[in-house]
Order: sequence, then structure tokens, then C-alpha cells
Amino acid sequence: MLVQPMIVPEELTVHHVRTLAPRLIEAARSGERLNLDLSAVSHIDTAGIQLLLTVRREANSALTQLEFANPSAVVSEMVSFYQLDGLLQAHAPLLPV
Amino acid sequence: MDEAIALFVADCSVRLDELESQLLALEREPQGRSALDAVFRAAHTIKGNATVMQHGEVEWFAHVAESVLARLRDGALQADAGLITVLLACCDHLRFLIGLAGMEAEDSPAFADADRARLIGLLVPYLEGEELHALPAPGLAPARAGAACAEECWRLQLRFAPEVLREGMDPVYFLRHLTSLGRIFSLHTCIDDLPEPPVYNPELCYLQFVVLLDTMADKQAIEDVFSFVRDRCDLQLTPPATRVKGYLGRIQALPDDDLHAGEMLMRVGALTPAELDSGLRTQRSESGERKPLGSILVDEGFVPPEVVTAVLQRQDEIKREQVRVSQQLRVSTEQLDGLIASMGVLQRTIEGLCRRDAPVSGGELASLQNEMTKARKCADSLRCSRFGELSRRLHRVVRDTAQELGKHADLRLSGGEILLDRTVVDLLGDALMHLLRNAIDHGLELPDQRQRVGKPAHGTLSVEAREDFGETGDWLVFAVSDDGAGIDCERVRAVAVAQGLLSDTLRPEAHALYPLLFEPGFSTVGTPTHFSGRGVGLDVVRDAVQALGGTLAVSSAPGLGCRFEIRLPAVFPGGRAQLQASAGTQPVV
Repeated sequence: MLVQPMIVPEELTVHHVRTLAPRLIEAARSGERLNLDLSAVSHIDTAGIQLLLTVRREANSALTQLEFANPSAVVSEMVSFYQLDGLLQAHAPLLPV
Repeated sequence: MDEAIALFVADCSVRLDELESQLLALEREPQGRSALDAVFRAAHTIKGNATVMQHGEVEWFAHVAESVLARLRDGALQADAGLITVLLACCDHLRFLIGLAGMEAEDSPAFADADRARLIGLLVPYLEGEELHALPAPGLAPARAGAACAEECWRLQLRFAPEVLREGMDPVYFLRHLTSLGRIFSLHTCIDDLPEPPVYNPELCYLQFVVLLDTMADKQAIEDVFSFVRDRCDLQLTPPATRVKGYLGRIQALPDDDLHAGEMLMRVGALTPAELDSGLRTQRSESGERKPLGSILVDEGFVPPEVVTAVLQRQDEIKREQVRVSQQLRVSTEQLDGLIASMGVLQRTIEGLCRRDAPVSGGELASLQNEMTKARKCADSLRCSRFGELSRRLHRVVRDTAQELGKHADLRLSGGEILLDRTVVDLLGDALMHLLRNAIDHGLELPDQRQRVGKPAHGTLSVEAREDFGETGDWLVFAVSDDGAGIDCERVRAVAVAQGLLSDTLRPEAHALYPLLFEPGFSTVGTPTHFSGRGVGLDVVRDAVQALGGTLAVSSAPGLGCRFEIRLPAVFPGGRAQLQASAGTQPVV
């Protein structure tokens, strides 16, 4: 089944997380497959990383199958700096499809 | 210890004492040629000694100091407070290096990299041309240490305040900046505190970090990375085992000075001033019996327990050493020759009388007795030292304290010729140093405040020593006075009420309030400074004076200054003639 990716906007920073968070968290809790496309992200900070961590955790507890797709260079670099490489790996939740 | 090294250490120590007191003299009289010549000679001799001993680090350092001094002598530099501060710091560093040279530890560090890097930074503005090129670049020391495993790394545990993100102080900036000091060996991002929605507020910081940093940098340099965010971040810095070993070595190399544990830990680099302040605040905030600072520093994770233990042991050692030194006398040959001559006269007179058949006349007996008294006086004087010998220590403490606090202070000493028992000199010196620090910190106003009330910008401190032999007994009196603001009685009263020492309804007279200043833990200052407020107060001075059988009194005139008076009995409770009057008066037995 092809999942329509959800595009995360350019700014994944403290100035934008307040508006972004509810939308992403809701999608993560939906229980439906979620593909978050990170290719457009050109700025990310610690608030952005925290949001991705929250989304991952919400998805896991709602058994949502989440994939962070096409991370841009800044995202990969930040995730790797924080040594959170597991965050981006698509470890599928234990969900009968 | 190798005899040559022992000689090297002993000679350099004398030169360093000379260097230090002449630097202080030079600051008081910048045009003084003799002080400058003496400073130059002392530095040159230390360099020469180091060359002979092939002690490269001391030689190199003395050479740099000498280069600055040469420019000073040639008139290219002025002996202003800034330069004297740097040169005194060099003097302290040389003392440290020479202390290390006297140690037998097989792996004593070649140099104290942190001190060295800091001093080079301070010296650079005073050097030029080729001297400058001969210096290693400042900031050279911090580099990766090539750690092969986690145990060889510094461990940084960081918890940021939740608001930092909103305030534009993203932890990632500071963490990335760590790479300027070395290599991040590993970074663990801890998400345990990240709450679930709806508690989760996306704009707050919930992450904590544990970083293993592979670096040669010292603790202060690492702490400095976070200086911008210092009050918004809990930082716990744990040194690698190799570093701890280095601290332990440096603790052994500390000079036999009377230092507080906190100061010793800072000197060896195991504790930063910010950590000390934090520890002191914790100590202050506790009610009931105060915990020792050492255990607070361990509990807060600032210093490894073995380092605190080593400092406490070293303090004991220093005390023992001071007792040992006070039991050994350095006697001037002049004094000794006087005694020998006197004994010679006695011996010849008695021999003459024995050979003779005639009975001894009253006149002969009187002259014999006279000579005996002279000999006894000479012998007694060997136990004594002049009060003036404390001069260097007192001038230095005034200078350093004033400099650090941005105040101007001159010290006047009188009664330098008064003789006192050597065992008393050190204890008295500590008490006077404490009173002087206290006077500068709490008494003297800042220069502009002084000028506003019509006083000269330079405050004057004085230490007068005098004898008071009268009906109430024989006393030696040491008065420390300043021309500062005097004691703020209203403030003393308020603090005493707050600490439960005084009932709010009482309005005692000023002189009835003064004894409160000697209560343990009493302080009218909110935050501790480096000088006063170290958890030791005037109560310590009072206790020390009382242990010598003396008294401590204070008087003050608002706006005009304050005066502390130490009175010590000229004869000590022990019965022995421990103190005696200066030459010319009868010894007190």
C-alpha cells in the first residue's frame, strides 16, 4: 500500500514546533502508516530533535508504523551529532499489517 | 632527595621570596631603581640555577619573565598594577614548578599546562619581536589527549534549564563548541525526562546529556565553554583517572602555605571558582550543624572523594611541617656571634677567678652577673623573630585582595622591630592576614565611592605593633585599622535578627553589637567572595587569638573606619618566657 508522505516544512526549530507539533503528534497517534518526509528540512535545532523523538515515541505506543524518509543533510548531521541514529531507522512497530 | 636538587629548591625559594617582596616594593615605588635591580637579579639567578640543573621549564619561564623585566628596566614598560599582577603570578608559578622539582614522584607533570597557558596569555602583551616568536602559541595546551577508552576521557553531565531553547541558547551550540577543546569521544542523549503530550511542551528543553570528552584541556577551560549558559545549566565535570592522578601529584607539590581546602583544590585545578562558590552557597543554606566543605564538594560531584582526602592529608602534613619548621630556627650569624662572644667573656673571667687565690669581690660578682644577663638575653633572642618579618606576607595579601576587588589600598606597618616568639609569628600572621582581607572586603569602599564622600581614592590600612607593659600585665598589641566605611550597625542588627541571634525588639548600642561579628558563620555579605565569606569568619581569628591567651576587640566609627585590636600576653600560659620585649628592655620571665 502506498502511503502519501507527509512533508515536514523547512524550519524544524523552536520557533515553529508549537504549530507543527499537534499535527505530527496526531498523525503519529492515528495508528495508520505514517511516512514523514524530511527532505525539505533546512534548519533543525534541539527543539526539532525533541519533536521527532516525541513523534517516534507516540507512534510506537499507538502501534503506528512510522518512517522518517529522506532526511536532509542537516537532519542527518544533527541526529548523528546527538548520537541518536536509531531515531531515523525505520524500525517497524510490532503491528500486523 | 638529591642534594643538588635540595640546594636548588632552597636557593630558589629564597630568591622567590626576594622577587616577591621586591615586586611589591616596585609597585609602591615604580621609579625605584634598587627594587627593579633586585627583581631583575632574583629572576636572573633563578634562571641561572635552572640552567645548571637542566630544569628546562623553570629556565624557560624565568627567561620569559626576565625578558619582560628587561623591557621594564629599559623604560619600554611601566611597572603598573597590571604588570605587577602578571609578574606576581609568574612568581607563584615558578614557586609551584620549583616545588615540583623537589618532589620525588616519578611521574610529576613536566609543567602545569593550565597555569602555563594562562600565564603565556597574560605575558604576551608585554613582549615584543623575537621574544614573542619564541613563545608557544597561547591556547596550545588544549588538544585531544588521544584517549583510547572512556576511562581516559572527561565525563560531562549536563542538564539545561527548560527555557534555554526559547532564550536562544540551544544546548547544541555549546556541545558543538566542545570540539574546540578536543574530540567528543561519545555523547549520550538522555530522553528519560521527555514527557508525553499533553505535558510535553515543544518549546522547552527536556534532554540531558552525558559527554565523554577526549581533551588535554583543564577543568576551567571546559567549564568556560558553558560560561554563557552557566546559570541555566547544571554541569558536573568528572576528570579521567589520569587527571585525578595529576591532581594528587600537584597536591603533594603545593607549597607549605596555610591554605583552605577550597583554595588548594583550585590551585591544583580540581575545582573551579564557580564550583567553590556553589559549594559555599550550599554550605551557607544549610541550617543546623555545617557540613564540611569537602564533603559538600564530593556530594555535588565537583571533586572526586580521593582528591578531597588527599587535600585534607596534605593540610595535616603542612601543619606538621610548620610545627617542624617552627622548631628549627634560622639564626643570624650576628646573633650567634653575640652569644659566643658573651660566653667567651664569661669563661675567661671565671677561669681567671679560679686561677687566682684572692676572694671574689662584690664588683667582680656584679660584672659577672652583668655578663651572664647579656648572654641570657642573646640566647633568648635566638628564639625570637622580628615582627617586621611578616611584612612581605602582609603587603602581598593587601595588594592581591585590593587588586581583585577593584579597590586601592596602602598598607602601613609600624613596630617592625618588636620581637616575638617564632611559634607565635605564623599564627599571628594568619590572624592579621585575615583581618586585613576582611578590612579590604568589608571596610574599604570602592575608589569612586570614597571620592564621593571626600576621601582619597586610596584607602589606608595600618598594622601597628607595640608593647604595653603596665599595671594590667605585659602585653603585645597589634592593631589593624582601616579608613573605610566602618561597621554598618543597622546591617549587623538585621543579620543578627535574621539569624536568630538577637530579638527583633532589642535596639542595643553599637558596642554591644560588635561581639556578634565574632559569632561562627556570621556574615553581612549575601554572596561569598574569594576573600571573605569562605565559611571562615572572624570567629576563627578570635579563637586563634584566644588560644594564644589573648583577646580580640573591635571598635568602629561610621564613615571613618574600623579598628581591630589583638592583645597577646607577653608571657604565655605555659610559664616559659615565650615572648620578650625588644632589645633594650629587660626580658620578661
